[in-house]
Amino acid sequence: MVMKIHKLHIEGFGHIQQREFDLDENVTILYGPNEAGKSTVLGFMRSMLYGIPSRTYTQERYEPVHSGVHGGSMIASDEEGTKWLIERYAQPPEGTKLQGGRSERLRITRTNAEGNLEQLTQSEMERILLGGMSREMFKQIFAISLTELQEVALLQSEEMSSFLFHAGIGGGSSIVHAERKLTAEMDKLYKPRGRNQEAAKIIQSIEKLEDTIAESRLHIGRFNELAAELERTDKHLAELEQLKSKLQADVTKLQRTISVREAWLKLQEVKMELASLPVFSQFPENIVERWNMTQQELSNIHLTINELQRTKDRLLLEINSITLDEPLLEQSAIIDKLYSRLENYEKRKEELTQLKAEKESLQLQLSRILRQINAAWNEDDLQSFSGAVGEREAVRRYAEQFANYDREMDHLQSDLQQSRRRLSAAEMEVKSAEVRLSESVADGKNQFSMLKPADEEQIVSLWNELQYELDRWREQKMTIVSREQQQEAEIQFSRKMRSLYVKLFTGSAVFTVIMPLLLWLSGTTWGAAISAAVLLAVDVLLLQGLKNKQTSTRRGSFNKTKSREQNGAEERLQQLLSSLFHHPFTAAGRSGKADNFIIDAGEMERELQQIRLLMDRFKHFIQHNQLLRRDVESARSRWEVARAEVERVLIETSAQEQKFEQLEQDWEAWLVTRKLEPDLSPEAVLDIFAFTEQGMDIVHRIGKLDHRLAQTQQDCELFEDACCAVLEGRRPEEGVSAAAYLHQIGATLEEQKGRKQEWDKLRLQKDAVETQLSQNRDRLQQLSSLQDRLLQEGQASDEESLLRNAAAAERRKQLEQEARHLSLAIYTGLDQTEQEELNELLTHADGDELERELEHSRSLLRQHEMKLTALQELRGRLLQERESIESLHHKDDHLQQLEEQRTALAGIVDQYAVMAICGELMARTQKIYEEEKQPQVLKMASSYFWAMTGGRYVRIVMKVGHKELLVEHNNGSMIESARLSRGTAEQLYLAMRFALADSMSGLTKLPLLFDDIFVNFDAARLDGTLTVLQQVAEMHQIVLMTCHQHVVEQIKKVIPESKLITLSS
Amino acid sequence: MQPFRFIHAADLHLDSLFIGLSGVTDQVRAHLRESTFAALENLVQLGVEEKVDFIVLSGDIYDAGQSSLRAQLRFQEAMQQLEHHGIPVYMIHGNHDPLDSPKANLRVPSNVHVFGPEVEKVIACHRGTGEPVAVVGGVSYRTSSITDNLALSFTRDSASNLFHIAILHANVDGNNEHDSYAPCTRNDLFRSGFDYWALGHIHKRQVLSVSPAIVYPGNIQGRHIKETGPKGCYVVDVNEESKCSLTFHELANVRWYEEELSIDGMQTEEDLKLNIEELLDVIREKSARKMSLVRIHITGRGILHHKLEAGYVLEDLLQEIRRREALHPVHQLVWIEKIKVATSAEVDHQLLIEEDSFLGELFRLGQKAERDEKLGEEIVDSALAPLAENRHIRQLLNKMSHEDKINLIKRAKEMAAALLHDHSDLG
Repeated sequence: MVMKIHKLHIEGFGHIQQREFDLDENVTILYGPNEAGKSTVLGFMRSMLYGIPSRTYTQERYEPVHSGVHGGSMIASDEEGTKWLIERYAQPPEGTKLQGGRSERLRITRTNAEGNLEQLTQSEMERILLGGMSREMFKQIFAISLTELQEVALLQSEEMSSFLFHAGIGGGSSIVHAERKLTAEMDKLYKPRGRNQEAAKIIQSIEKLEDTIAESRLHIGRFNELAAELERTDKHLAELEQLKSKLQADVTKLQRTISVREAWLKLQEVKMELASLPVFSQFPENIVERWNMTQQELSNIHLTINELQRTKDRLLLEINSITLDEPLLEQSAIIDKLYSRLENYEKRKEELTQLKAEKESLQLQLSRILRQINAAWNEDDLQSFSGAVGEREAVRRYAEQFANYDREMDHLQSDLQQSRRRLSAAEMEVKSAEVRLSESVADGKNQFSMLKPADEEQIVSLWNELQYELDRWREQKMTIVSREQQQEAEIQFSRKMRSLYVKLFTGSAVFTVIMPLLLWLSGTTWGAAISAAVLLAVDVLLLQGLKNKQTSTRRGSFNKTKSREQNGAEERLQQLLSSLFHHPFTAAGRSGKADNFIIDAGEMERELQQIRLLMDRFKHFIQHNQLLRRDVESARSRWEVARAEVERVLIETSAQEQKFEQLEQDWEAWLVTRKLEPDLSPEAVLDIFAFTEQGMDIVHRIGKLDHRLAQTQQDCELFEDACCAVLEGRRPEEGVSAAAYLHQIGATLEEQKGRKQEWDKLRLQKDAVETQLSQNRDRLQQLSSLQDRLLQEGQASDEESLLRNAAAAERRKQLEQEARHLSLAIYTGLDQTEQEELNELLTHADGDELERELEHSRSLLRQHEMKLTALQELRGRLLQERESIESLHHKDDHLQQLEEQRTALAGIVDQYAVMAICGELMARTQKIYEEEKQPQVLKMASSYFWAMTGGRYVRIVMKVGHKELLVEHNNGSMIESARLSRGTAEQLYLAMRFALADSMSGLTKLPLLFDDIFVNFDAARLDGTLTVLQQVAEMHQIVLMTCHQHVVEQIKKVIPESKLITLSS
Repeated sequence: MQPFRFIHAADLHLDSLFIGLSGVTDQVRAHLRESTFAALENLVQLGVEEKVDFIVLSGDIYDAGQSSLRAQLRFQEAMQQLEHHGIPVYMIHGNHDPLDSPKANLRVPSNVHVFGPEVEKVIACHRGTGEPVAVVGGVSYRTSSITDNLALSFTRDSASNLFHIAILHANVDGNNEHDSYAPCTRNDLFRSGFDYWALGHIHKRQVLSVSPAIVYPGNIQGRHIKETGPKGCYVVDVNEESKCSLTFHELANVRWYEEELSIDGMQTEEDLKLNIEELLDVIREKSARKMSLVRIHITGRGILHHKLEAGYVLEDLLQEIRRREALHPVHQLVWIEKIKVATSAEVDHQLLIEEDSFLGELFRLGQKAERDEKLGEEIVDSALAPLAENRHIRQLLNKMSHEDKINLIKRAKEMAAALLHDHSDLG
């Protein structure tokens, strides 16, 4: 399949508006005069496929003449037959909603194999629909007008050659891309003379490092130079050092010489003077001072002795002028003691009077208290009334006993009242119980008056008997019964009997109760008991009888035949009943019809029923009476108890009163023995105790006062006696108290003491003076002998010569010492030879000479020192430099860095090399392609060209290296394309394009659109060309545009199936 | 004879450069620069600890060409330490530090004996007893290039029955990886009658003969990718019967590795990164508190190939790994010297070469260039012509061998394939 344009719809393009073209045929001719719009249609087709050119290219843009809608749509199909709709507008019609920018609105729609619509972009369309053909290439090869046809530049373009030669691997563009990529990468790495590429940067740092390294290579030489220089310097330094020390020694020596010169001269002088002085061996030290001292002392002592003698005489006179009272002084100690006690004595006296007054007041108090207790009491009574605890206890006991008694009595009184109340209550009770009993008995009599026997026992026994009979009777009855009437009669009977028995029993029971009770009440206990027993027996009998009656009646009823026997029983019953009751209370009984009675058993039973009820009531009555009797009994016993209680209380009361009498007597006796009023109560006595205590207290205090009085008196007397003893012989005149006199004596004594002290002092002074005198005299003796010895030692006869000798010895000593000092100062630290040298020097040179010499040496020394310093500085500098080189090398890693940089460079070179070689290989391959593939295209072009020119030209050739085309004429000559005629050249180029279109369309067969390109062709050539065109049309859709009628005709003739579309101007 | 012990080391190359590194951090560089000295210090310490009687150094103490004052100062320092411990050193100069090379004027410590340009012999003694135990003969290089057979000048003292040690810097049996200085043969050495040939010059540790012992201890610190593995010296014990036993001790402070990693089965760059990191950890373990330098050859065939061949994937990866690695303490650090990519695309080259396509044409051309030396040279030269304009790069290019060039062509082919392949994928 080929790519085909099916339909054009021009909405507005150039001057064409709203025009549609169907281009279904393989070859379509658009015929029309000039300005009909042929070129516009070509432009439209280009624009639809590659975009409407911008305003810059006004000519190709084809703006609509009257502005408005600009653009249109195209329907095309690709190789696979897929339909494409391309709508493109520079100025869209109103209402269309197409995507796109300001310059262009575009929609590309593809209907794929499944019939789905999808929208694609321009570039996708170019790739898929147009086989990657670029706009330029399309314009140059496929959609050409005469202008393009004549352009030769096309054949030289790079892109063209890529398309030409590299189609082998799917489009030449990949090679172009690859080449560009390579170039870009390589440019990043390296460019000759480039400065910013990686390689350049590394090279720069390499160069920098190399410089640094070159510099440091010099260091080792410098290092060695430095070492040598250092060695030299050290040697020089050592020499200088030696010289310097020698000079220094010289200077020192000279300095010393000058400094000791004065001393040395002095020494010479001293030596001379020494020679002139006499020589003493062992002259005593300090002899002159010692002499002078003794002399001084001697005169002093003489003076002292005279003075002392005078003092002694004066003292003796004074001592004799003092008189003393000896005896008084002897007693002075005693008097002083007395004197100290005097004050105490006077205090005692005062105390004495106070004590007396106090005693009197106490005695008054005592007598008042005594009166309070008892007028008759005196002090002795008080004493004898001991306030001992025993006494108090006794009184308290009495008081308690009295109180006890009172309490006891109160108690008894209330007991008595209570007992009496209880007694009267008991009496009341007894009376009421008795009344109740008698009432009950009377009542009973009334109720049970029908009962015959008065005795209850009798009634009971009768009743019992009755009952027994009844039973028997019933028994009899029962045995006889064989008929209903009989039976009924029997029942009747038994009922009668039973009621009878009951009545009997009731009556007897009542009696059984009442009788004994009455008997007991009447006081005959035994009688009551017996009657009760008898009545009970009757009751039992009756009861028995009742039972018997019942049984017998029954028996009787069974044994009808034995009615006799039954009748006997009935009789007995009758008897019993009558004996029991006064009068029959039943109809039967009252009527007294014994015969009837027997016959009518029912009646009998009814009666008996009533009797039984009566008997029950009777029994109840008897029981009630018994209860009442017991009540009376118990009330009576309570009354007895209450009476006994009252009596007991009365007895106790009298006993208490007796005890009280006794107590009263005792208390009175106790009071009398203590001389107290007998009518005093114990409480009053307790008050008296308080008074006695007060009294006793006062008595004690008086006693104490007496004691103290006596003592004070005694003290006073003792003192007065002592005074008298002391002052014996100096008795004071009458009227003067011992104390006052004592004062007098005291004063005298003080005065005497003063005198005595004075006297003692003087005596002591005199003794001291005498001792001093004797001492001074001894010293005098010693001194004169000392003087004699001094003169002897000083080898002198008298004081004068001694002094002279001493002065001479002193001077000598001085000079010797000076000489010693001087020689020490001069010669210290010098050995023998040096000393001699020094003497020599001093002897032969004078001061100025020495000074000059010293100055000279010093200046020499200074010079050397300066040299030395300079050298040391040099040495320091050298050492520093050496060290800096060493440290530089220690830190230095430039070589390693250089190595690294070189490695990095090598890496880049390696990368670059690979890429460069890759590029080279590609270029060379391209060349191979050019050489091998070009002939293919050219061969095809040659055949086309041959056909077009009717065999005039046989071959087209392209020279390797430059891309100019040559054609070979059928006469064998080669003609350059530039020299061909216009028409022929156009035919050549057309042939080339056909060939290119073929070879390039390895993938996509694009339509060929030609705009009047045959104008310069003659008829024959046109014919040939059209033949070729027909051939080409098998592979491509072809659209031809022409304005020449003959061209149209010619095409129609050659390609009859072509479609003609006529455009009118 | 009294038994004794000595150390034999050679080719200290103090302060010499580490070749082939780039992008190194300051920390790593400092450590590397210090490493040869550290190795020397290790040597001194070993001597002291092993109580050796003396130390023998067989030349190339430092690289005179680099005129490193530091190297000489540090060497002197080390010798002074040995002097302090009373360990004598017998040393010669080799081709890198010949006698006539510029040297700093430094005092030679008293314990060091440097042999002169003529063979001389001295007596070495036992340190404990002071008894003579060995005759040590040696000779230094007068200049850097000695082509005479110096071994012939060594002759045994026939009168002495002491152990004879010869110190010589030479290429025995013409090892062509090293310059052939003082060339000699094994037989020359056998004939001399010496008991121990303490050789230097060849940096690969090897014992050429056991009796007599002919020993290259190798250099003490590897400095480039060709000097991988443990580097150090031999402690030699000589017994009463003059039999010696050698014990190797590693002295180096940095160890070199060359490893291979295949991308077979790897899917993403992350896979590759993890594998590399794993590899680094293995090396770290192996090195045991030493810095390691490693070159990784990435081999195999897989989809990662294109990513590695084109673009900066590998560069980024390397940077990232180095950055993370630099966080380790320096003695545990594993530095990637280089990653060499030798992977292949999944495309079958054989198929491609027969294909009628641009790439096929290119591969055919490439193959032709690989085989035709002239064509190959021509292609490479014209491609690299712009590079040659720069002096520094020219130097580098001049060093390039034909093999290098062929290798470049191969890689260029791969690159072209990658580039065009990528692009055709898009198209």
